[in-house]
Amino acid sequence: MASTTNTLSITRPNAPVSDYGKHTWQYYAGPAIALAAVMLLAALFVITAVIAGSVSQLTDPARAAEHASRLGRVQAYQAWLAPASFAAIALAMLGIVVTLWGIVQRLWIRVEAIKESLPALVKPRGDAL
Amino acid sequence: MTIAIPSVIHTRFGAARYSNTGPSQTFIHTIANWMWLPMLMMGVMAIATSVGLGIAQARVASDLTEFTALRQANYETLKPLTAGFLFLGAALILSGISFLLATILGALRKGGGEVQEAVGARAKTLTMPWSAWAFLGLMMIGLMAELVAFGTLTYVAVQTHDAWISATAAGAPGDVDAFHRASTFAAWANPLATAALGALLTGIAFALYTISNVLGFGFSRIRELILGEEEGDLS
Repeated sequence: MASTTNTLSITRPNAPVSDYGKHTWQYYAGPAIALAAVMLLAALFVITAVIAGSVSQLTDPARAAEHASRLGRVQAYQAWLAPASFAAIALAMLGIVVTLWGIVQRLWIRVEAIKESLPALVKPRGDAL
Repeated sequence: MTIAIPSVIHTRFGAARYSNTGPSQTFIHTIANWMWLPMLMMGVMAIATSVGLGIAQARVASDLTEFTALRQANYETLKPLTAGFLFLGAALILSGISFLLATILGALRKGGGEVQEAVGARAKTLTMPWSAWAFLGLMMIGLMAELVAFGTLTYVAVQTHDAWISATAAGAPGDVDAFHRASTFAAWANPLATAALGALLTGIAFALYTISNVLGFGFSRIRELILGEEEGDLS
């Protein structure tokens, strides 16, 4: 039997729940966003490792003539790498958010399922708790 | 026959209360239900702003080989601004997560009441546990501290610009007083921003602890309803 809710909310299913086992879209989107964040972090790490090579050459006396341009390049990369890494971490947090959103939806679906099935399990008692 | 049951009882999961109807959402749960998405969106916008500032800083940095006071001032000013928006964005996203966790607690509370009503039982609901108060307190402290840190880093950015706009050579600020003010404020604003994130994360840990406790209570209550056995100190 389908259950209905009449609460307008983005965390509680507004349409009648007909299939309690059906996965929500957050079930797929949460891990996908988190994986995208991990891949972005890995790419940024590779770029950081390459820049670290340039940093090590800044103290090389044989390359003193290139120091100024090399320092500028390192500073330029560092300037956007830090916020980009933070953005990737924020993307991972978004993955957490979407998964938690799915948990709230799943909780409400479970409430509907239990409301439908529990009365069949509970024996009628005059001294209901 | 009706058993006389006191309004507040002590269970393994904390103090609980009986009522004839299921509990409604508390004020905190209602706020959390409305606020989690705006908080998240503001956090994403702050992070996007910091990425934009980072790209602007990178463009200025690539021109730093030829010294001008304006370039140096812009480069140095963008550093604290970028950090400020990064920390603010992270704090807002963590606050969004905190509100979402409070929404989960609200769903467990209201949904639990609806389930008990569905079987014709009196609604037994946990009173707000200490861990939920700790969660709320840490979240508010963390968010307030992060806003203070953001304001301070903006002030640092202004002072930094004043310090470098009159510079005559790279590495030598023109206004030494402004440079010292900026350095002093930056010295505590950055750790404050980090500590604020720590407070928000600790609050999230308390929220998860509360959810774990409430889930245990919910399973225990379903067992009571099916078996007809009452748990808890009724005296």
